[in-house]
Amino acid sequence: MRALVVLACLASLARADSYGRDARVAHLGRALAALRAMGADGRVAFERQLHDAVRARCRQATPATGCMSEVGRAVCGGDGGKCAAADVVLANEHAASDLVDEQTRMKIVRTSSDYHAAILRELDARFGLLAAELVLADGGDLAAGIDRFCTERDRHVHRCEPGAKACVTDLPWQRCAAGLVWYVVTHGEQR
Amino acid sequence: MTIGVKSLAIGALALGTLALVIWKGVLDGERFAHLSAASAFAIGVFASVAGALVAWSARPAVASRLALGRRGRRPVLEAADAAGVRELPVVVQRGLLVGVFGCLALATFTNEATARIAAAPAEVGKPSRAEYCQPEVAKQPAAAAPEPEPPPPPVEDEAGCALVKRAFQLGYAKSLGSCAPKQAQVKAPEAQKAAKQEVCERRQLDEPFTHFAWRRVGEALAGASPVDATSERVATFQIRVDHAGDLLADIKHAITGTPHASHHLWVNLPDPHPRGVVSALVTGKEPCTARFEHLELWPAWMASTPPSVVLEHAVGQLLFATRFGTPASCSDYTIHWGAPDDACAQLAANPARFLAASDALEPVRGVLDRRARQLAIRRLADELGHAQTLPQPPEARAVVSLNCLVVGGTGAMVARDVTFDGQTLALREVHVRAIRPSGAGPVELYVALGFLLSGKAYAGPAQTTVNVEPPGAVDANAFPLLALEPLADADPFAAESARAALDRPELAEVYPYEQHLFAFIDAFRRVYLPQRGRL
Repeated sequence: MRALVVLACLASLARADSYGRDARVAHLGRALAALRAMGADGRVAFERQLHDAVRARCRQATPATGCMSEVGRAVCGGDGGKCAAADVVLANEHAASDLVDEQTRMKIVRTSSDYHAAILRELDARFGLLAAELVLADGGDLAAGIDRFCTERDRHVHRCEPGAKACVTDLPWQRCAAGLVWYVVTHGEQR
Repeated sequence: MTIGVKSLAIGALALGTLALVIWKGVLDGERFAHLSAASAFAIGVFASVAGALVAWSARPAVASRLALGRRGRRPVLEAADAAGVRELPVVVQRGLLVGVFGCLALATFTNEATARIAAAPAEVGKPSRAEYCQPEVAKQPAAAAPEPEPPPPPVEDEAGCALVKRAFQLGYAKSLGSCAPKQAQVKAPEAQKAAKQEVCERRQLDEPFTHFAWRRVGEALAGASPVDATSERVATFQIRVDHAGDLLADIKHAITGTPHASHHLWVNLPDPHPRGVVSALVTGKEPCTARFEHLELWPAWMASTPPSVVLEHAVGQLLFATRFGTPASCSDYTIHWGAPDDACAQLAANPARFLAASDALEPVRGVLDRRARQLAIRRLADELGHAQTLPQPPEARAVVSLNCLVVGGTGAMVARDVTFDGQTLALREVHVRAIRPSGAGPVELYVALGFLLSGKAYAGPAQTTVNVEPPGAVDANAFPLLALEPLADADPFAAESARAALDRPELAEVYPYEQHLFAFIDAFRRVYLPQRGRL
């Protein structure tokens, strides 16, 4: 069963030609532009819309990517920029349970009235640390910088002591890139 | 007018002393107010005795032989004419001398100094601690008996856990976390350490010397007859002589640097770093620590990269890279390049001959001998009734291992035991079809090496994900980030089906190697390192 799943996902990847360097940078650039164009309130509404739709349709603690992509397609309606923005939001949503450790999630369940908002705050703290690494690493074009930083970061071991606050462990490229795009846009506009 | 030099000297001494004591504040009224009787007495005695002694030597009643006069305006020293020389009166000279020494004593004999001087004879007269038993210091009252531990509190639900428990029941949470029912902690009873009362066998304070001497003689002769004592000493000496070879050999192993373990891997691939005889003689052997110090996590090998380079890198990552936690010691490992395809068959047939042909006989024998000597030294301690100072050495198969990797062959892993020098050693052999430097080739090599060295197939990371994606395709053109998410869970080391993604170069660039490689090597070392040991 698991092998079938993996094969199915890889089959979809094989059809795509989205992972060359230029394609990656272009996609991140589109997502950055689309999220910026939404404005702060628009982004919050967009993120909430996707989250609610995923909860309503996918009905799992960690929803399947196939289901999430259907939700994304329905929300973005064929708008390329909006789809890129939805890709960032959905990738962050899918990775949330891996990025925020279980102990923290249990604490949030116990203490917070709005679980989703609290998870977003936790993610924001982690993406902030990543953004600091990005700033120290490189300058230049933002989308290209994020792509380069995230591909190179995963070539080194990043392990964190249990409970370490100022540490982000190893991140696959897509999680690193999605987190940074979201953080840079939201915090860049706040400044 | 001429003045005798004695009077001049005493006068100068008195003036100088007076200036000094005034400058140092020795004549302060406060000092006199707090002067103890003992200090005052000591000052008086010192001033009187010292003044009298100097005056006796200076003879103030006799006029000086030389006198200081003046010729014109120039002072001159001339022979004294008794009639014309002026001297201070004798009483004044004596008084000045006593005053000078009194001032010196006043500066020196402070209350504290006088008390310490007074106590010195008593300290000197105290009996030595090394020679005499000292009276016991009053002991602390016996500690009150510890109160019995109160019974553990009953298990209660923590406040705020209802929601977590409900989430757990509905499957939204994987575990209860800190809301799980608490186990009653059983406190280990504190070890009661009975303080040993040391019996003093030295001389008692009030014990006559002859009694002490007789007691020592009696103690020396008590408990055993001289014949028994002598025969015991002879037996002990004999045991030590019997183990002298072991002791000397152990020292030799330590000095000559015999390896602490010896693990060998025979590979039928050429040496990735071939060196000529001259080069080896000039630059010596490259230390393995330098070779494996900075290994790239996942090098982008070319199709033309020699397979032995890929193999060496994988061995280094599996065993010696510190980024994955506790490594093995690389000096204990030897890769024998250019081995025959049937290396393990030859090893099984005649281990000594094949090891000698591979230059592996000496290190293997050295490690086995070192282990045997350590066991012998432990037996020596047992026979002498002494406490063990050496830990129990690991099994022979933990410190020596023999492995063969045959590239180009097929077949399941062959694991067997060979007997060498009376010890049973593990011999493992794995065949791989080929080593592909690119795509999923390194993953296949890691898996084969892990299987060969640990003897167990990789079953996945220690912490497996519980979320299984249902079948479904993500449009990677519209959602390339989301489409990569399943790769985070698809472990290429555990599932062959997950390796296809590695064969696409552009996907390999964003592939989460580190995550899966770390999990694989972590799991490998958890299995492998406990199988190994060092002497």
